[in-house]
Amino acid sequence: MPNDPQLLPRRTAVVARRTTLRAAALAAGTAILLAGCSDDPGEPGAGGGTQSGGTKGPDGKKQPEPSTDPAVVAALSTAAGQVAQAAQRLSAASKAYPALAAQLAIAAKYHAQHLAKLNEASGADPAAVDKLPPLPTGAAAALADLASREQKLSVAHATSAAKLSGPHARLLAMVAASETQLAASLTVKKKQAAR
Amino acid sequence: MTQVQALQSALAGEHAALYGVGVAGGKLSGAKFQAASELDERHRRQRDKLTDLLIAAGETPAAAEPAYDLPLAVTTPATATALILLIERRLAAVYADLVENAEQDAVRALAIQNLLAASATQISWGGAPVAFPGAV
Repeated sequence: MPNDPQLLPRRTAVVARRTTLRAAALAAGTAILLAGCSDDPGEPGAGGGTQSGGTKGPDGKKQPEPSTDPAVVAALSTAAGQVAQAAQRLSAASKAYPALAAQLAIAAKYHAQHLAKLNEASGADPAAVDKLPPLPTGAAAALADLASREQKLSVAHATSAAKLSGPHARLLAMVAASETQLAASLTVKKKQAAR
Repeated sequence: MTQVQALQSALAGEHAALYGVGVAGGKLSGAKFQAASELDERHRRQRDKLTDLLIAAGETPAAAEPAYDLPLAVTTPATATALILLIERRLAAVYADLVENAEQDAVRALAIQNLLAASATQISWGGAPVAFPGAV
């Protein structure tokens, strides 16, 4: 573990500032992480990101252009159908177990955003949702089921992302990352509910 | 951005993350210190893998800087945790860049794996889920 910078000699601190400026010019990753960039995702220059390709979406972020490649459209449409089904399952769980509604709301909101971006990027009509399998009996079992399904979705979408390239791969990978977060978040809440 | 540039950015990010996690670990104890140590190990493995990929591509891997400015003062366990969350959020963006700019399947697969790892780490350190981890 490195020394605490507060304990570094003053000269070292000056060097560190100079170094950071040089690093910012040479290596975006360094500057992004520790040069004190704003963490406000709405501020230009926050975070990483390439500057080429895509268009601005309604949230001001880059969006991949709708694809005309049948394999890409198929991958994105399949993902959209899976996300739509997950969203419907969340909605059904919220209705069946109102005590879960508040903690499922964030997952429902993010899946709606995933679905909008996937439909936009695929350029295809929204996928029809198959009949939902029945929910497990009991709120805790339903929550565990939802967390497990989020994790499975994440694996499926990460696998699909690995077969694409460019902005479409990035979109599917980010959806998979969000699903991993939702799975972990629901699992934490499940543990809290069991206490 | 080319694949090599994105790999160099990710490597520079891992160097910075190792520094930042090390500083944060100095303010943590018990289970959180252990978690920071494990995170340090993971970033070390990711740094080494990126280094190997760049060497295999005939490139000179970006070197670590001797020290880095931190975006916040790390004086307590709470600020140490905040720094780790910030590092993982920003690393997610760096790896999303690498996903987008990868030209080889192996590089893309590694970038996706690391994007998911950074995203999951945010939750285990008390962060909240977001709709698009790694978005800019």
